[in-house]
Amino acid sequence: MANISISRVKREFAEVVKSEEAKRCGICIKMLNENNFTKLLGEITGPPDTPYEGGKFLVDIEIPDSYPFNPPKMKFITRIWHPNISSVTGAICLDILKDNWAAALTLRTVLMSLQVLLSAAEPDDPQDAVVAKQYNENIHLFMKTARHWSEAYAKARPIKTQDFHEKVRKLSETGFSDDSCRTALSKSGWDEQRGMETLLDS
Amino acid sequence: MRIALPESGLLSQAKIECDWKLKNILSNYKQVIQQKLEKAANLIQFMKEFKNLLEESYKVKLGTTSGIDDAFSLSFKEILPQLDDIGWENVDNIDDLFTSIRLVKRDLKSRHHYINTRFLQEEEICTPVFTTDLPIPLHLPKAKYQSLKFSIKESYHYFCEAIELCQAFFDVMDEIDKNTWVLEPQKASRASKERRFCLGKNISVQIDVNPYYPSTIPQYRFFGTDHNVSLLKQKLNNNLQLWNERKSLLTNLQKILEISIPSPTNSQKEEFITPCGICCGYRLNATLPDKVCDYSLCEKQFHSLCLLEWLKTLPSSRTSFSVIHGQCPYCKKPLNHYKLGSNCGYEFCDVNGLLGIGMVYKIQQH
Repeated sequence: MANISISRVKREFAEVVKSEEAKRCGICIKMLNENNFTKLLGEITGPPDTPYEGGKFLVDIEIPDSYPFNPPKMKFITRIWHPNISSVTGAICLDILKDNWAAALTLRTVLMSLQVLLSAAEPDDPQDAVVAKQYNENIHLFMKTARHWSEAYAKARPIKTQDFHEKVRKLSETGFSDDSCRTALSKSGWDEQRGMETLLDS
Repeated sequence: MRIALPESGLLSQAKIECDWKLKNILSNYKQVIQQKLEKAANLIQFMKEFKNLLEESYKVKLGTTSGIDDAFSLSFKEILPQLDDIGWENVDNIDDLFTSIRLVKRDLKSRHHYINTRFLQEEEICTPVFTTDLPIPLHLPKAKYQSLKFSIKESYHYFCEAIELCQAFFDVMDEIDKNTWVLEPQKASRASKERRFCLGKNISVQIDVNPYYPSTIPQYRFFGTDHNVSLLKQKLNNNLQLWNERKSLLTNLQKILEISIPSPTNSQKEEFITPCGICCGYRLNATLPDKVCDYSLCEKQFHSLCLLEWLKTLPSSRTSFSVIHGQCPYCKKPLNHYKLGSNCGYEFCDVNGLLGIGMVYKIQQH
């Protein structure tokens, strides 16, 4: 079935490249190696009116030999603070990438679904329990943390979370890396004391 | 030939000079000679071996050239006068070795027909093998057919007769090719009796025309949703008696199915052919999508192979006997599919079946 997989991915690749809608929504797709259509790189622009606005999120796409009978394997490369996406591995919890996959879906529609997922999280079916808990208990803190992560990792314009940057910088003076400090602080509700404890515990 | 030994007296470093004729013969044996030089105990032994080698190589060379010459001159003598009779304007192609000849016949409607004659050389006997692009077999009297003297001219004569016999068939096929969107075969040869063409969006028919009786009802098979197909079958059965053999096949089909068949003059091919919903391609292993979702709002087309694979992957699919039941990947409506592609095969509607066979018999007698 490998020949079906490759010929279909080529068509879908062309579809995304020429689609006006995809361009408007800020979705694009690239080959990682020339003429290798099994490993692709997707890019999603964070949707407006969300903490991800203006960020560029890279998605690792792996096309299995059994495509389109089985879904493509996707995960976020860019780190992201979202209840349905692991803040550590980038693994995505989305039904269409698992049991609800249908051959009618394409790379374009899946990437667009991911974009919709960014604007409409499903905290009741979480991938990252810590993030989901924060989302349910303190939506404002969640929004700000997600915004901060977009600024730090997805090249979103830094405007709203200067204090978080400052906290990360301060904590990182202890010698821990920026990434570890940011994760620890996010997980402990940006309390410096608890953030430090989280760092030392891990 | 001169052999120069080096001062060391080592045979393996000897130099051999010879004239160009000998050099030509030995050109393929350079390595062998080198080996023999190295192995030979003395010059005399080498010369003995060299003599054997020379004899052998000469035999091989003689054998190949004379073989070609024989076949060539034989075919030449027998065939050229025949080609003169047939007329050189009807010779389309002859290969370099004179082992295959292609003749062309232009019929009254300036259609080109080809007959290819290949000579199979088996020892002394040269058997001609004929291939034509006719929809019917070429019946040649057996005794005459074996001999080379007869072969070309007579076979061309029978070929022309067969073309005359098939004129009506060619007319029917030309009419279909010109006035419908033919889906298959992609590039039909004159010999091809089958055509699959569009009847409308997502519905097509494949017919197999009888070359002896092209205006009778052909064997047919409809492709499309169950609903559309059963509708057409019903109309066909109801109106069967309206089939008029004096009218053309297309006219009859349109009248009986009560539709107008889309033609290249009034429509675009893209209106009727959509790619497979699973592999997104038109052709897979040279076949077009032939399975349609029966839900009237979906009607998505699939290749049998793709759909079968999809239903097999679906965890919710069930198999009972040779049928898989599952969901359409687009509309999620129930869909079933035969496991071994066993839904192919024609609907037989051979009202003139006996007549057809009678005709074949007559041709063989002739």
